[in-house]
This record gives sequence, structure tokens and C-alpha cells, in this order.
Amino acid sequence: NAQVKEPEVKIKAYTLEEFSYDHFRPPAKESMCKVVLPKARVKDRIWACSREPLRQPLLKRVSASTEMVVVACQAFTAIMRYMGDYPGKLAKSGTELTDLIFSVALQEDTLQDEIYCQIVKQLTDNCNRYSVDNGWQLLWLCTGLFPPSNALLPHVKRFLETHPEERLAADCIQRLNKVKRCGSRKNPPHLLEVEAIQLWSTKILHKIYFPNDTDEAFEIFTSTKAKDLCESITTRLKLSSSEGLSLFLQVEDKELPKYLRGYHQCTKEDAIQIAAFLYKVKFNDDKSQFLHIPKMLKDLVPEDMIRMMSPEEWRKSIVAVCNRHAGKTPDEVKLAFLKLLYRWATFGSAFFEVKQTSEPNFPDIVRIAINKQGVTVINPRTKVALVTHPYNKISNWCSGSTYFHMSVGNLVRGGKILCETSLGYKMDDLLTSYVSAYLATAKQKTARYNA
Amino acid sequence: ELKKEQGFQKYVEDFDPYSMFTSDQIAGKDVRLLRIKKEGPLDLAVEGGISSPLGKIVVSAIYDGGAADKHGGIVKGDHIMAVNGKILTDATLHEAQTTVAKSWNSGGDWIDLVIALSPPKEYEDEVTFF
Repeated sequence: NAQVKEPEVKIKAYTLEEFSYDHFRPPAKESMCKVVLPKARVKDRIWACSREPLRQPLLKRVSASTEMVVVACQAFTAIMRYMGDYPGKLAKSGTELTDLIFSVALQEDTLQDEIYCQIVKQLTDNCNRYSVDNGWQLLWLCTGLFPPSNALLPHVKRFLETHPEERLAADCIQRLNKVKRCGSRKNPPHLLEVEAIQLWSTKILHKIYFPNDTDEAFEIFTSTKAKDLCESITTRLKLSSSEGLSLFLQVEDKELPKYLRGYHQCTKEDAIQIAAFLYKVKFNDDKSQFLHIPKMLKDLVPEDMIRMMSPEEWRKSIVAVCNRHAGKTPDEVKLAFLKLLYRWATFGSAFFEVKQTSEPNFPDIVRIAINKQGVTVINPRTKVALVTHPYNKISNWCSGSTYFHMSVGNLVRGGKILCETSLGYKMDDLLTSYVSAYLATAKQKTARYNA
Repeated sequence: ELKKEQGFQKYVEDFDPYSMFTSDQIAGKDVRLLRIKKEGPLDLAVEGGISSPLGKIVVSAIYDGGAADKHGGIVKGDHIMAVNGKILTDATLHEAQTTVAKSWNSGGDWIDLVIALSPPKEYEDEVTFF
């Protein structure tokens, strides 16, 4: 009549005890001497939660390097502060602490296991719920950044598997598998990630803005790459291809249409057509604003062309074209506009105003346009192209914070462009992208020809 | 003590660039001497050098809160011509970096930088449209 006992529901939480025998440093000397004190027993449990800052890293491997020792101990103090366990000092907001915990480990592989061990240690036998919650947030962030080594991985997994009651544990296992597969990240957690997990949200939506002044929210993950996001935007907008599209991070500078800055060489007739188009985009078929056209010329006509006619003449010409477009849908007008612009050699360019110091026959200040034709140097006053260097003639380029340099052709027949600009990094970036796109197409063409 | 009474000076006023350089070397340049007090890190970065396309040593960044930033009078794009009397017009980037670091870390309460001011930018250097 032996009663069948219910199976034990609570799974015994896994610890790093076993891992510590081989990989952790031996306990510090002082704890051996203080063996008579009852406290010393606690000190020996190096793999369990402690409220004392570390004076030595946990891992033997890390203890070998004096530089790493300092960083590892600082990281532990930051972990204690994030979890609210560091006496006296309140946890800071933002990414200050998460930067301290993860930044160096992203550069120094040897520290990555140390960070995992420190977090898991602080989550082992910790009876303060507030501290445990914060510790799990750190483990969640960590599993999105880099994987543990092959030696440590099964132990971390076992630890996660034996904590099914924790709301982030299952997600951590998934993230671990993913980061193992896709590789480490380069930067510590972004403020958005830290703020999201502090609110226990594992889902992050990011607003993406489009040139037509609309925006939409897209879900991003710790492991989302820019290419992935471009793909999902392309799908959402039902575009036929994402080729040549990219994400652009705008931090400070404000955006204005290239056209209104007068970057293109365009005729007065073109300018009138385009002004009518811009009016149509703004007011559709509303004729009541015709009267105000002279006051809004700077939003309709390139700044350097406004003085070609009197405001009243501009108004008359623009209204005449508007009336011709009256019956057309907005999409039809947009297409007509693009067809007009497409004829220009400078269509689809990025423009840079620079001071050039390499060509005495050119003006000091020139405008450089980078587009699918190549790199074009333009006289900003006359808008005439002084020279265009196609991509197959560009042999080398480099940039600094204050300059951009490009060599064309070979030593015998060739030239160079040296210019002073703060935007050298953007020109460099764009040129690199165009040249690699050019090489990729050239390769494809050869392959097709050979076949 | 006399210096203190004179108050803050961005550039040393009685500096004569012709005492250090030939007229060819400084033709068309606005050459100034800066005397920066050694307090905390200098926090000034340079780029270029004789073997680079730039062909000269140029300030690439002045970091906020560093001694160079606090002193003022020196900005990104300025050409560094000499440090503590050592002329850098033919220096490589590495030589220039070593010279600046050594001058900052060795004795003395000040560092002397001779710079050619970059002219004000008469063009749009901030915005790009893609």
C-alpha cells in the first residue's frame, strides 16, 4: 500500500559549480587562512551570488593577464550596480553600466566567458527578487551579443533549462542558438534595447522614415542586420527589388531637396514644369493658393533661378502648367516629374561641396556628384561638368576627417583629386558601394559572355 | 605672475612666424602660436603626414573637455606646423603623433603649438542628399 509519490515538480537549479573546478581560479589565499571563521565557507562558493566586489576574475584564463584582471573586476562591479547590489551607489540609467559590462568583452574574446560566468554566478542562490530580475535582463542582453565558448556553452544552456519559471529563460536559449549561428555583434546594447528589456519587452519597433514624409514601424531584433530590414521594408512597400536601397541614419543634419538647392543644370521651362508639379503635390487641384505662389517661390523653384523672372511672371507660367495638369492623378504627375528629371546627367546623385587643392585649372570650390556614371566634378556657379571619372578608371581612394583623395588612371596618364571636406567618409562609403556594385555587374556580364 | 595679470591669451601675441619658417613655407597662411596649459589630457587627434595624400599634419578632432578644447583657438582642419619648437612640416603621421605625445607627457607646464589656421569654409560642408 505504498503511496505513489507525485514526481518532484521543482527542477534542481543548475550551477556553475562543476565548471568552476576546472576553469575558475583557486579561491583567494585569505579565504583559506580564515577557515576558522564561519564566513569563510561562503567565500569558497565562488560560483554563487556574492555581495562583495571581485578582486580577481573568476576564470583562470583571464587572471593570467594583468590588464584583463582590472577590466574583469570593473565589469563585475558594474553588474552589481546594474542589479542593485552595490552598496551606496544607485544603478545608473541609460547604457552607462551596460557599456561597462559588455564593451571590452566585444573586443576581447577572452572576457566573453568571464562576463557569462559573472552574471550566472550572481543569479545563483540569489534570494533578492529585484536583483534576480535585473540579472536576467543582463543575461538576456548578453545572449544577444556573443556566445559562450564551446566549453562553457553546455553549462549556460543547462542553467537556462533549469530555470523554466523565469520569463526570459526560453528567449535566452533561442538567442544563444542564434548568436552561435550568426556570430557576435560589434557594439554593446543600444539604448533602445536596454530600455525595452527594462520594461520586459523583447519586441522592439523602430520607426523608419521615407522621403515622401511618411513613416512606418518595423520590428527589429538584437540580431537584425541592415540588409534584413531593407528586405522587410521592400516587402511591406511592395517594391520589386531592394537593390541599391539602404538605411540612412540621420542624427543631426536636416534634409532639403537637392533640386531646390540648385544642384542640377536645368532650363527655365523645366523649372516651370517642376514648380507646377510641386504645387500639385502640395495642394492637389486647389486653385485658391495660386495667389500665394510669389511668396512660396523658394519652395517651388531652385534658389539660384528665382531671380530669372519676376515673382508675378513665375506665378503666371506655373498656373498655366497647373491648369494643363488639372485632370491628372497624383501618380501620373509624379511619373511625369521623374521622367523629366531622368534625362539629367546629375539625376540620382549624391552631391558634395568641397574645396579642391589638386587642379589649378578648376575653381577652388567645386561640387562633386557621385552617381551611376561615376564621379563628376562640377563648377558650382555654371553647373557645367568639368570632368567625369567613370568607375573603371578610378584606381584608388581614401579619406580622413578633413579630406578626400582619389586617384584616376595610372602613373603615366592619370590624375588625382584632393579635397578638403568633413564629408570624406560619406564620399568614401558611396564610392566603395558603387565600385563594388560595378565590379559585381562587370563579373556577371563576363560570366554571361563566356557562357 | 606677469602672465596671470595679462589674463587669458588664445594666441601668443608677439610670435613671429618668420623666426621659424621661410617665407615660402608660410605664404598665404595665417600662422599662430598657441601655448596650452598642461591640465588633464590634451585630447587632440591628427591625421595626414608627409607620406599621405594631404602631405601635411592636420587636426582631425578636438575632443570635448580636453585641454585643447578648453584652450580654444584650434579646430579640426588646422595645420600643425611645429610642436615645442620642433618643425613638423616634413613629418610622417607617426612622427607627429609621437612628438605631440612626448611634448605633452615630458616636463614643463605648457605645450607650444604652431598652427596655420584653416580658412573659414565658404561652402556647404554639412548636408548630403542621397
